[in-house]
Amino acid sequence: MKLFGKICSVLMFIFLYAPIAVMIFFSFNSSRSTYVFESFSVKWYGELFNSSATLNALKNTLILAVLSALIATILGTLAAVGIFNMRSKIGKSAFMTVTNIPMMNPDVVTGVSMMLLFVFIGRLIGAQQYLSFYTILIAHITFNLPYVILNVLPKLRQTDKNLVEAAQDLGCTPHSAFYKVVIPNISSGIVSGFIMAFTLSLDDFVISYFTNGTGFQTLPLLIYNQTTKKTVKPDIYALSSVIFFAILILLIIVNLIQARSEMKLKKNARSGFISKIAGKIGDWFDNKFETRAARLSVISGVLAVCIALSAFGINSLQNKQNDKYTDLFNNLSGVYSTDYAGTELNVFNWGEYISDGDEGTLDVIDAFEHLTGIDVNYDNFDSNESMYSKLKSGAVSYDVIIPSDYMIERMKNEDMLKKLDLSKISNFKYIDNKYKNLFYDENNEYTVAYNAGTVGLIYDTTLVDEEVDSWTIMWDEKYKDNILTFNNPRDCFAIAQFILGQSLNTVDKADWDAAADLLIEQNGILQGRVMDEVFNKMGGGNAAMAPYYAGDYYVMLESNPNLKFAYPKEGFNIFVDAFCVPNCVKNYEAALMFINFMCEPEVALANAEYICYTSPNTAVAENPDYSYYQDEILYPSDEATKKAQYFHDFDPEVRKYYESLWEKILIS
Amino acid sequence: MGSLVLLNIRQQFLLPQRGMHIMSKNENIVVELENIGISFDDEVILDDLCLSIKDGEFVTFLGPSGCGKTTTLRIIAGFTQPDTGEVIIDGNRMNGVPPYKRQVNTIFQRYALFPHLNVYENVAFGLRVNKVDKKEIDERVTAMLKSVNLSGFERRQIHSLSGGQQQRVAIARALVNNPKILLLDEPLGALDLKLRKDMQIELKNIQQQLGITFIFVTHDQEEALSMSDTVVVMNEGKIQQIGSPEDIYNEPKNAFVADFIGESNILDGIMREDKLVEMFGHRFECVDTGFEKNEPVDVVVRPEDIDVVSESEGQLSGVVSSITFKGVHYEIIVDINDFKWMIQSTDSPAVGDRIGISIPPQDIHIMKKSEYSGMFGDYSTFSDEMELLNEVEVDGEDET
Amino acid sequence: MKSSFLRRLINAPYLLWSAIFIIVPLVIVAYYAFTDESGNYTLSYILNIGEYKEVFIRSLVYAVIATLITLVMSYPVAYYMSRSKVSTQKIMMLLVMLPMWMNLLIRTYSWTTILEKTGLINSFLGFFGVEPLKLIGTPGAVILGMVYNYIPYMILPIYTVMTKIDNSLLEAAEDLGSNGWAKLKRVILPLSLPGVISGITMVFVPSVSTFYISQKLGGAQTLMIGDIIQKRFDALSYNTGAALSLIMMVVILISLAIMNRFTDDDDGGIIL
Repeated sequence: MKLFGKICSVLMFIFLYAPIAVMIFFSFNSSRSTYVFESFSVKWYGELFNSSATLNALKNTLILAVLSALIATILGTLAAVGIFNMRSKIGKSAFMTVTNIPMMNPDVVTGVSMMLLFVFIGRLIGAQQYLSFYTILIAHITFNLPYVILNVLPKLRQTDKNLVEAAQDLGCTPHSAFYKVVIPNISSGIVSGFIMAFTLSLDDFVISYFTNGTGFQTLPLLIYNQTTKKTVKPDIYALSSVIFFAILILLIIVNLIQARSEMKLKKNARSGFISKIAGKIGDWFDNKFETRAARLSVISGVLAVCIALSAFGINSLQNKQNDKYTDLFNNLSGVYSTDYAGTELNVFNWGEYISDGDEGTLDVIDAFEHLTGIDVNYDNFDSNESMYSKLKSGAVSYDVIIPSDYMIERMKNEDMLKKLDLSKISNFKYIDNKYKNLFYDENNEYTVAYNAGTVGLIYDTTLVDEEVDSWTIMWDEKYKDNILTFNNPRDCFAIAQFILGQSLNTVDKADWDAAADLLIEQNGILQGRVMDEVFNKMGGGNAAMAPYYAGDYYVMLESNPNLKFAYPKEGFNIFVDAFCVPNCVKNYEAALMFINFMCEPEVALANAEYICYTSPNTAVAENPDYSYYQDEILYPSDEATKKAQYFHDFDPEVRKYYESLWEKILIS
Repeated sequence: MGSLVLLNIRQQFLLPQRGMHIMSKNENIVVELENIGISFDDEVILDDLCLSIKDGEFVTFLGPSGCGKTTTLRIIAGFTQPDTGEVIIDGNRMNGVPPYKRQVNTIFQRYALFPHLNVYENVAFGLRVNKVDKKEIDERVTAMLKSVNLSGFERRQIHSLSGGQQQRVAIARALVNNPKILLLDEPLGALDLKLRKDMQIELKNIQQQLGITFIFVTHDQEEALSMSDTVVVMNEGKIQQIGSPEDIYNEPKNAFVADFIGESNILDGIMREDKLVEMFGHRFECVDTGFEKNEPVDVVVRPEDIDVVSESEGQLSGVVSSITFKGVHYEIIVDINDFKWMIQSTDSPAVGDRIGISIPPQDIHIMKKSEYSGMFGDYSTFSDEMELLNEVEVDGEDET
Repeated sequence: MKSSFLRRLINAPYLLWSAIFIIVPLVIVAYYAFTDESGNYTLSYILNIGEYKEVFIRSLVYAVIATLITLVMSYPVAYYMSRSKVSTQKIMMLLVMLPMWMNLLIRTYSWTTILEKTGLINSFLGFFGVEPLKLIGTPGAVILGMVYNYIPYMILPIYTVMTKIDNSLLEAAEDLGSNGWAKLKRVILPLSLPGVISGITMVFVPSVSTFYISQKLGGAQTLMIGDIIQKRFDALSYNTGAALSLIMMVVILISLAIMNRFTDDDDGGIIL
């Protein structure tokens, strides 16, 4: 029995720590892959401290955790005392039931219900943007409260009831008896409640996902974004390794302190070297601060200072590299005013759709911030639809968004976009005429094209040894469990529609039904539906083929040289992503400035190199130094694009129809 | 109630083959401990302990907290394995044999009744584990519950029972398995005084009826003396004395036993010759022999054995420093040559009176000097130490 | 009189808070579930749940399997922990809790490194010439993810209950003739049941409602109800999303109620 238990425990710990060990190991990978280890390197740790997004998220997470834990601790302690003193049994039990709800309810439901509450209130008072830092704070406080209460209540029960009476007998008012007797007696419960709340808040993703506001990204949300988007690089592993070791050290210290206080009770305990040192430090501490309350306040004070310092450190880290943009800024002196310094600009862009300073590239956002003094809050979306819903719901507000063509058409039709003052965007002149006055913006009043792209089929020649020229290969049983496809309705339907020879913009329900049937047929042989996860899958050689955007093929090629790209003969989708300013804009001038900056030849080149999409910027496309200068895949001839089709927007009825079909495809 | 229980148990257990053992005590050795030694964390708990227990005996391990009595019991039960020495039960070496393979049952200090089972299931537990036929289980459990006066309590939950009732369930649970030896680990500790006395009588009666060996652990000397056939006095992992209650009380082997059992005045003396001992410069007649001439010895005089006489008639004399009424007698403290004698007498001299004392020769008990000599003395040290003992026992004794 | 009024007042902030941020949101979920986009009462969203029958069943089946595996894996470990030396217990507790402090997303994601077609396991197998196995994208991978992420929630409550089992009860069982197995079956198991029940609750609820694990480790056909809810809300279909949430809540409550019939909880009020 004992041996069996021991074996089980050993296996259990191997199971628990295997992924963590793997994570730590791969954080030292010199290549970008989280699958194939190349050689040892600490560069991702360096990247970590250079990434303003990560540091910002860390700061946000800490602020949120401390604040929500603090408020929840105060509220929860009061509530626990209240519940404890309640006379009516029914009242007590009702209270406890309500307290249990956030603990028993699935996180998704808690998150969703909080969000609906904010939506509801937002609509009631007509607020434009109902999700903010405060909503995520409220949500965190709410789910922290029960844990504080359940930590404090048992301590109250353990407290001798005569204590309060004794204190009053000795001259305390009920009020001072509470502070002098009750609080010290339950302080350990309060502290552990606070710590629990702090950790829960630190770690929460699901509830934050539904309640966070514009530009307020926490670490879990950052990790979610990074692991659902494009390439997952080892930097996220580096970040987690740092967190892991920080927590490990913290826990060891806590345990040593506990061991010491137990050692005090046991006179003749044998002790090791480390615990002796811990004991010495602890003794000094105890002598210095004699009362428990003093010790607690000192500890919390130190904690607060630590957090403040790290927040401070983060800020100074962000500001330290002022001189790295000198070349760029010399060319731009005088063009950008600093009139809007200190204001905030909220940008909503696709994931990994901007040069971000990674591995020596230009950190565009950071450069813009230094140039203008404007604070940029930069958020990611992973589909036009999710971006649209966020804006449509009114949950958030942004100043610059980068939707695709058909979505621009819809948003324009729904009056969600603001006209651009093109006179303030001098760099508009660089935009190729091919990308002006397109169907979604016939008079070019609302948009400045950012990137263009096409969809093709990417395949791995080690797994596919035939020439690929048709979408139908994606239905070939031979490649069962090796085929990936899009995880969004329009891109996915488009493939079937090309095979069926339909227009991508058909409004005939029968067409849609036929396409859906074809897609359902494909379900059985799919490995999965992916969006940016495709980078790791194809880059790591984990799937034979995937339809994806042409530019991304080059990114995948870096990690898997066996990949090839084909434009299927049935035709393919072509798209344009463009800068727009939504109606809910708050900082219009800064938004125009930002768009103009993004079209600067150097900036646009950095972005084009980084993103690898087709650049509509002539200053880039005609630059012979550009890596993809006259590239056939990115800049196909007019002949090659003859069968290419744009997505157009539909009226809600068609949209609803194909979305319900999509749902059916997903769950069948 | 006590006699009723007795009657029931008799009916239940007067089985033919058992009956033979009841009246005449079997002289067979049922438990034998040879040179048992055990220590935890470098602390010696039992040191070279040797002990034989006869079949059908009521043996009590008596000693202060930490003396090793519970550990000895656990070694017999099989919960603890000794580091050295042999455990022999019924002629078989039992070292390493797990508890569930020993025909020994235990009544635990706080009963250890299973909270998730009701009364009936608690009692039936051992039978069920041993796959006894269902019908037989029912018969035996019902009969057992009846005999401990718990009929009608079958479906009750354990936590709804009083301490005395729980005690009975624990007894029934152990006895229903017809053990050869019953181990009792301070089973009466949690009961109040009145109930405790009743249970003492009941347990003794049960033991006499069944004729099985009871090994009883207690720190209560009165309990030990009134129930046992044999008392084993232990201290610091060693057996101090084994004997009948009378022997232990009347002929303590050393100062520790004398002090621990009953109340006593322990004095330094010198054996001048056989049957003559000198204390405080006065020679007393006694009945002990076999000491060296002029050997320093410990002398024990029980408080109730001292006669109060007039100053002139006494062998020794002194001033009464306090007197307390105790019901059947007075407790008189007399200061004689700076030694506070405790005397229990029906006489009641006043404080400050000078009185004489006289001790009959047969009540002077001579002991060889031992490691305990000088540790226990007159009344003043005795009371301190008693408080200490009481205090420790409140926490219960957990010698694992 | 005055002090008792003050005492009542101490409850007020929490009472208000829990009313606004716990009760009202649930009412609003119900409101959205029973209305259409323009706020008119309708049952259509609730009645349409049938379309998601398979997803619901899949979620329940996965969650139940994951919970059972977790239980079987945790029980011996919790027992071994509870009967170890105090210092060993502390270290083991620390080791069990440490991964919980790591972000769930990253813990889940690092499994992809192990399970992918070119991941560690398949690389290892490939070393021996074994064809790569399809590990990721399978129901097994999703269940593995659930087991991995939630196993501490099973170990801890069972362990806590087991440390409270008085050693003398185990000795009594042995004394009455139980060998290891009988001791487990007749004493340890029934006495640790409350811990097992709360462990099951703490694993089952997040498993059935998870929405990240299946996206990362699952494939095209392992979508869970949590994923659908997330997608519905991301696509602004609040009504469908609310209806799904409501039904899921009810399903979970029913499951918990069934389980709670096996124990009587003596503390902390009823679970609805």
